[in-house]
Amino acid sequence: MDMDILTVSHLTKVYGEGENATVALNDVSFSIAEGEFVAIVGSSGSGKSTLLHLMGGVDRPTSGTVLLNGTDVYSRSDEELAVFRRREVGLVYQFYNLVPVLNTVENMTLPVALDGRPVNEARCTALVEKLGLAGLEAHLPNQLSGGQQQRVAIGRALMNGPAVVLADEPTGNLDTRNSAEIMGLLTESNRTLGQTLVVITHDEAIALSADRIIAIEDGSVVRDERIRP
Amino acid sequence: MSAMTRFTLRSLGANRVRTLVTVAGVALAAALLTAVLTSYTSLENFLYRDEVQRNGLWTAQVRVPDANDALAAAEAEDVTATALLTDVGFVANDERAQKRYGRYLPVIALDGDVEALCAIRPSEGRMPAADDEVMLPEGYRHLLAADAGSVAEGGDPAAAEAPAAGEGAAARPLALGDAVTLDLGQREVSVAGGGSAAPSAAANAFSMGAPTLQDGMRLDSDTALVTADSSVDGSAAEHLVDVQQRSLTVVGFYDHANNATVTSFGTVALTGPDPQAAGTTALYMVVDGVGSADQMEERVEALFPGVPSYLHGDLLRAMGMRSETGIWDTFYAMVCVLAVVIVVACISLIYNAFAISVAERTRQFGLLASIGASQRQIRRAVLLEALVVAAIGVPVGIGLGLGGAALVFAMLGPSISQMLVGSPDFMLCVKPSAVAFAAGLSLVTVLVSAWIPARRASRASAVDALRRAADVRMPRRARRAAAKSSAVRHPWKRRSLSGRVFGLGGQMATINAKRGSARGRTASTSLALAVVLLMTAGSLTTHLSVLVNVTGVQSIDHDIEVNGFSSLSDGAAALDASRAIYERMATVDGVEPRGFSVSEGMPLIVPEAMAGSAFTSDDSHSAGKVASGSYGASGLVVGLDDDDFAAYAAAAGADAGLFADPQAPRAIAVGSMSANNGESYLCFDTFTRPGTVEAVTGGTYEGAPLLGMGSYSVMQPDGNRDFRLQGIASNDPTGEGVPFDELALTMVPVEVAAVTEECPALYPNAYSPTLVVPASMMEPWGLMGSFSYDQISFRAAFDAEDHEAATEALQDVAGEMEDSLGSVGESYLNVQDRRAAIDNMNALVMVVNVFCLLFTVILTLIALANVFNTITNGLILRRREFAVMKSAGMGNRTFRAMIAAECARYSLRGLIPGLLVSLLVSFALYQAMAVSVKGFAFTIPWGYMGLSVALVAVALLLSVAYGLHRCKANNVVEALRDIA
Repeated sequence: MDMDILTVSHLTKVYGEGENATVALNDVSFSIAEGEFVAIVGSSGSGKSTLLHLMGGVDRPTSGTVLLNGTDVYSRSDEELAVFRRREVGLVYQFYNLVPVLNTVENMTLPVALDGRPVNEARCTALVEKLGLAGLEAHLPNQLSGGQQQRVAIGRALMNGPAVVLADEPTGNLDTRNSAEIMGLLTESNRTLGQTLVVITHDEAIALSADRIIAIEDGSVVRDERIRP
Repeated sequence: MSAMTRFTLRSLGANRVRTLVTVAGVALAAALLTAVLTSYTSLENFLYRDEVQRNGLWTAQVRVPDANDALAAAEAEDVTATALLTDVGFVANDERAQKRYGRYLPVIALDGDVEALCAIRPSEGRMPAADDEVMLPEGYRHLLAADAGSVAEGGDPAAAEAPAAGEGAAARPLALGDAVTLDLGQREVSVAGGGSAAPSAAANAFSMGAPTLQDGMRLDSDTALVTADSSVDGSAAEHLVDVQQRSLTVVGFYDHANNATVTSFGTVALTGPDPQAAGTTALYMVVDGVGSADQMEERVEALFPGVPSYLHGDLLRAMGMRSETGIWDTFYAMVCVLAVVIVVACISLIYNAFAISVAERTRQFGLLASIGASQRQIRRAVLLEALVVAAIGVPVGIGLGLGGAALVFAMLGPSISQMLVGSPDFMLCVKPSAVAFAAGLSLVTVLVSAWIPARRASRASAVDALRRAADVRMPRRARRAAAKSSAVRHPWKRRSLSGRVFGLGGQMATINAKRGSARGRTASTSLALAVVLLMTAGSLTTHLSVLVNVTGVQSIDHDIEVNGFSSLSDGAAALDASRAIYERMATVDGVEPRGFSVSEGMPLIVPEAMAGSAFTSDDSHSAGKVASGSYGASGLVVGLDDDDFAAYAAAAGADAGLFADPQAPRAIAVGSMSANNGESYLCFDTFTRPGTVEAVTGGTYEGAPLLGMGSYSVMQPDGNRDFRLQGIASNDPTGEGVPFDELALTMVPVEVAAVTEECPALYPNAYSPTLVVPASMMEPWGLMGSFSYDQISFRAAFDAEDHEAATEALQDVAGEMEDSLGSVGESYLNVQDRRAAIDNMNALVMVVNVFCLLFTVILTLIALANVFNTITNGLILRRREFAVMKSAGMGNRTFRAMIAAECARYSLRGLIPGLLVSLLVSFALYQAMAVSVKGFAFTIPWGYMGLSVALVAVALLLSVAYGLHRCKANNVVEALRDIA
């Protein structure tokens, strides 16, 4: 648990130019150790989603670096970055963001397919079982409930066994029961498989269940507190 | 104002860009419809005014023996105006006048509203008001002599004192106020030996006005000239009787010849009302309150039972009361095809604008539904939106359409006026009914286009809409496809062709197309439509150019044309005399020579392998089979000056040097020809390949040279045509012509070295199989003809800035030199002002051509805009979906493959049906043309197909590029965040 899997150093992100420039992140630096469960908290517009996107290789920073497993994420080309996203990280969003024309299994296995590898059917079936999606394999997203859609999204994030799972308010759109179940799935993967988990949340209970809480305000880290050894 | 209404108006205002785009689409469609309809009504109006100016307002005419009876009968409410033209008598023309006008100067008394009804107006002076006043055709100024001592009004007394000489030598031209004395007689038939004669086929009973030609029968100005050819046995003739002198004062001249003033044997002189006139009266009427030509005919028949009547067909057609066969039907059918295509294009444009606008707001409607709006209310909201859009778009469109049409007319008008000398101005004519129709059609289109998306919007469940998953609507079909998919057990097994070609991207595209929304179909439809519109433009151009070709419009590229033929029996002398005239004419001031060619008609015999449809078709009326394996037709040999020939040969890809050997006659053949059988135009191919043709240049009958040669073709019982030649010989015992097989013919074998589609400049339209040779070689090759009857024709062309003055000057030269061509009566020399003589039809073809082209160009732009709109919007609407795929790790390469595969799919789905439909449209246009042009085969326009596909592909690529650029502009992060 001592090895840092993810290191963010002097990360700055500015949107817009000149007078319209908005600093979303301002010189943020921290490290996350392998297997750690980190909660990122902060008010709306504090820059936490930007931070998550930068960690996930979805956006490019204005300056600063993100090291995953010791490799600089943003030294990669766009094409390499796509490969990075499908192999190294799993992203989960508040609004699920499933591809509407793909069914449950296809959505879950999309990163594998994009990688051009054959789908490990046993793993897929196990994951479907575990996520409670058995019997819904051929359903399209609009035939699923919110909780079910979020399970599919988690399935997609976990399918490739990524080093880090990044979740942006994964329960923000769900009721209490579904929230608990979804968080249960994510934390279980963190505890049993030692998968690093970074969750952006407003939910105090979720934040308190993490190993460490990073608080961001106005694009800067204002508090970085380890609450569990 | 209800809450929904307020909401609708607010949302229209809030989404200004989208509203503007939709309004623009509606306006464009309305503009196009208005422009098409207005152009059509303007054209109709122009034809109407043109016809009124040429031939007057009359709608029906009857010929009755007594003017008073006629007037009494015409005292009906619906006969709103009348004009009477009564035969007074006929004056025999002297030789000069005969050459220009024909045998007689008919004198006709006018009464009633002649100026308006018959378009008879003075070019100088005034209309005759009494029976001792006369208005003459302008040309008679030089053809009639003033009475001795007659003094023209304001004339030069010295000139008046000059003795009025006799025939053809008036010392000065006639002027207003001159007195002329005319020997007026009546036309009477004489039959040799008395009794009666049957009219021959050439002069049928109709043109003779009676079933038989009776000795002593009087003829009126409507009856054709009785000549030796008029009766079967040649026993009938006509002459003037009861000749009386009459002195008349010249009060006016007119130069506008029309139906009422020109007869087949002369142009009329007009006097005022004449109670003594006892001849036939032509009663011209305006009959109101009838809706069709048939009704008109019935009405006139009711007023004048048993009297033959004529309708003013050209006018009725322009009034929309008559549909004629032939070329008119072609134009109308073409306009109809075009209108259908335009309407479909407009509907598609408006529909797409609405479908996209509604699709963008599915969530908004879900929100409304979630707070309790009923389906009906939502539908109404969309329809209200449509009405608001229409309320702005349709008037704007009509304004644009009218403005655009006015602009085009303003730009085209002057050049058309210049072309159509003597026609009224070509100007915009706005018919309220046409504008109302355009407005109504646009409104209906808007409502229909809004109704379908409105229904869809109202059906979207509130939850679906709010969850936004329904931004792509999943039809049951798609759900089944998803469920059936083997993806559950073997996801991503490549099965589809697209998947195999484009990899995972292609597979995604297939899934997207199978389970996705209608947007793929919209894209394909817009591509199909674009192809249809482009192909319509192309095939319209093709068909119109054929039409223009067969109607002979191309022939007008010189200002003045001189046609003549020589009766000199020595071909070389005839050629020299003709060329001398050309060279002399070329020295006239202000005249620029444009070329000189000679031509000689002669029968041509071709082997079957070379014979085109001009020789073999049943529709080709002067051709047929000569013997087994060969065909014949009366053809034409055109001789060009050496330089012109060299250029012509080079253009045809032949070496001009080949044509210099006096021992080896060679020619270039024109590969196609057209013909007109009076009802429709026919297209034929003539010589299908190079080879040797026999030209029949002369022959003997029992040792005596033939005087001439006739050819005809007869339909055989087996349905084939035979081509027959008949010799005219002085020693012919029957006097009816010597049959082909009794003649010894002179045949010149001419080698056709090349076949070209180009006609020689002065003979721009081939009407018979044509061989082109150097004029200088015609004599050595024996192509001048050895018939003593035979005549060499020549044609010369000139340009002149002031074509009217130049024409007069050339006419003077022609008058001086025509004697050199041979004896008067047998030779011929005519100078024509072509620029003034372009007829109505030619100009019409050009006008229609320009208009159709213009409209199809606009349509093409619309089609491409439509493609751009649907494709770009389709991509922008999927921005979030793309972002999701990218965040899940889709690389640019896979993404591009997916888009490429989708494009390929749209293209296949769009281009194939589009091409099929456009072939149908092409075929419809072809059918429209086939009404008046026969023998023109339907060909698949591969060139235009390729061009359309290429253009559409470019439009597709540009649209996709722009759409993706827009997607990228809002980067992945923003797209993912964009929830609404």
